[in-house]
Amino acid sequence: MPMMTKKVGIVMLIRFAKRFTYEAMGNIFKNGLMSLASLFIIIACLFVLGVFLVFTININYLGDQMADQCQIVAYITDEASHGGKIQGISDAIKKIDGISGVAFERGEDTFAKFKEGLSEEELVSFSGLPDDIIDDSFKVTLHDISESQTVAEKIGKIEGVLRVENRQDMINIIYSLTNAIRHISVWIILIFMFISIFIISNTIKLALYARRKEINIMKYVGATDAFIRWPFMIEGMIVGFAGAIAAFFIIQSCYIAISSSLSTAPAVSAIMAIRGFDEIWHLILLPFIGVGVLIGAIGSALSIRKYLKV
Amino acid sequence: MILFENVSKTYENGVVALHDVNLFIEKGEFVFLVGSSAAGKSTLIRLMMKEIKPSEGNIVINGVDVCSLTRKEIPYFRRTIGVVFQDYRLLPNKTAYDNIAYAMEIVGASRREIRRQVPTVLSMVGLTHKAKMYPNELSGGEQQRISIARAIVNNPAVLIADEPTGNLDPETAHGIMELMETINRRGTTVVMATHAENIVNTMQKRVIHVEGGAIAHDDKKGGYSYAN
Ligand SMILES: Nc1ncnc2c1ncn2[C@@H]1O[C@H](COP(=O)(O)OP(=O)(O)O)[C@@H](O)[C@H]1O
Ligand SMILES: [Mg+2]
Repeated sequence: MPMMTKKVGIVMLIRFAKRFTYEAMGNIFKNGLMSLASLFIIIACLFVLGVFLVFTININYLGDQMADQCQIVAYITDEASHGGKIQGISDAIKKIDGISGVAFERGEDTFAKFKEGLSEEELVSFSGLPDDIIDDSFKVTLHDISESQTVAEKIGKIEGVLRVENRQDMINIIYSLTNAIRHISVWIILIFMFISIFIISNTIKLALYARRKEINIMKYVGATDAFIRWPFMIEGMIVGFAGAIAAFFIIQSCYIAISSSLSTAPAVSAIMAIRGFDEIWHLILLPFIGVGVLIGAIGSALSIRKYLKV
Repeated sequence: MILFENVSKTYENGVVALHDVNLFIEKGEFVFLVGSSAAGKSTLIRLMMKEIKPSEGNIVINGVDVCSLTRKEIPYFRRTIGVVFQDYRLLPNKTAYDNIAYAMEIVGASRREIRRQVPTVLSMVGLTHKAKMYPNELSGGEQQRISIARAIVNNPAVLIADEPTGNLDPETAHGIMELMETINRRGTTVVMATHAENIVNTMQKRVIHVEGGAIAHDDKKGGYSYAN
């Protein structure tokens, strides 16, 4: 039946797009209560998602910070550092798999840095000590902190290495913690997306029940399923977008309030730094808009499916 | 052109609504489907617009084998026929004008075409001055006129109507019938199911009598009373 289906040109596509958006806008206001209900559901779901997102971002940040502090430090013997073996040891360390960086540091520099962090009174107790009290060392960073145990053992076997400092216990805890939280977050985010799509499609379905006669009439007049579906989907997408923006501002004000109260608590600020909102806002806004629009579109498409089958 | 070949329809609950119906309606004809309640008139109409499928037999409308249409093709087929119902079926949150325009929008008509064609059919049904009213602000007869305007706005070859005057008083019904006749005179095939005797008798058109799911009589220039 080739005469029955008609190719849709670009002009017609633009015409349809305009019409659908116009229709969707009108419907949002005509079905104000339903739009409002969907809006609140989307905001609530995005808020939960946002809490986990913020949590994950900061746990990752904390993990990175601590992993940096937990680099392997290999102290070398005096004979090695004064006997011109530094380059040889450095090369030997670089040959080990999984190393991302090796930096040599004179013991004097290490001591000087240590003293920089101290107050006047504390400094007094270190005065009179020789500048080379600390051995020269290599600071080794790894691609993957889970390999630190094996790498540390290998470094310890290198000729001229005095001892290796590796905070294995700490590294293990951070590694498993950040990993677990990352996994849990992904699942929670996915589950919440499904829950919200489910709730929203049912909310819309309830409202559509009142509109099923309307949909029926559209079908009698010869409207295609897509023609009926698009305004509903755009309606959902607009509500999803609005929900994303609203949820973003709610998360923003909560985040700023909490982080400012945390930073004034000395016990917390001493061990961890929370990321500033200006650094992470895009990590929240973009997923929010994506997820919000997606939830709205899928929710609408799912709920109208049943009524198109006539 | 409408052709029914050995068409039977048994509903899911086992009711045999039509049994072995053969029917041929020429292009440009005006045909009444008459018969008592539950005779099968609406079933015939619903088969013509592909709302339901026949259990047996073939239906051809405007050269299209209706039974072989896929789900995707049905909307495009529906645009080639205009349909009018007893209960008007206008979109409640659109004005009279927008209800008619909607039928043009779905076929992708341009704003210019819509702005030219909608006023034309509005004036044809005599409701230019009510263009901005919503269905609940219109009388039954006016709503039916709008629904007829919507049915013909895309110039379909066939107009089918199921009891279009069923909810209207005789005087209003008479006006609707004059409108249907005007549409028919412009070349559109009109098929109308009704049980309003007086209308059928005064119009002197072809009358197909449906009784008990079969065609009892087919009078080229008939009246209703014949069957009773
Ligand atoms: N959807 C349906 N399901 C089951 N039986 C139906 C359905 N529609 C109509 N019928 C039955 O089919 C028969 C013919 O109905 P219909 O075509 O509506 O008659 P008419 O329009 O002439 O009054 C009746 O017995 C009616 O009860
Ligand atoms: Mg009937």
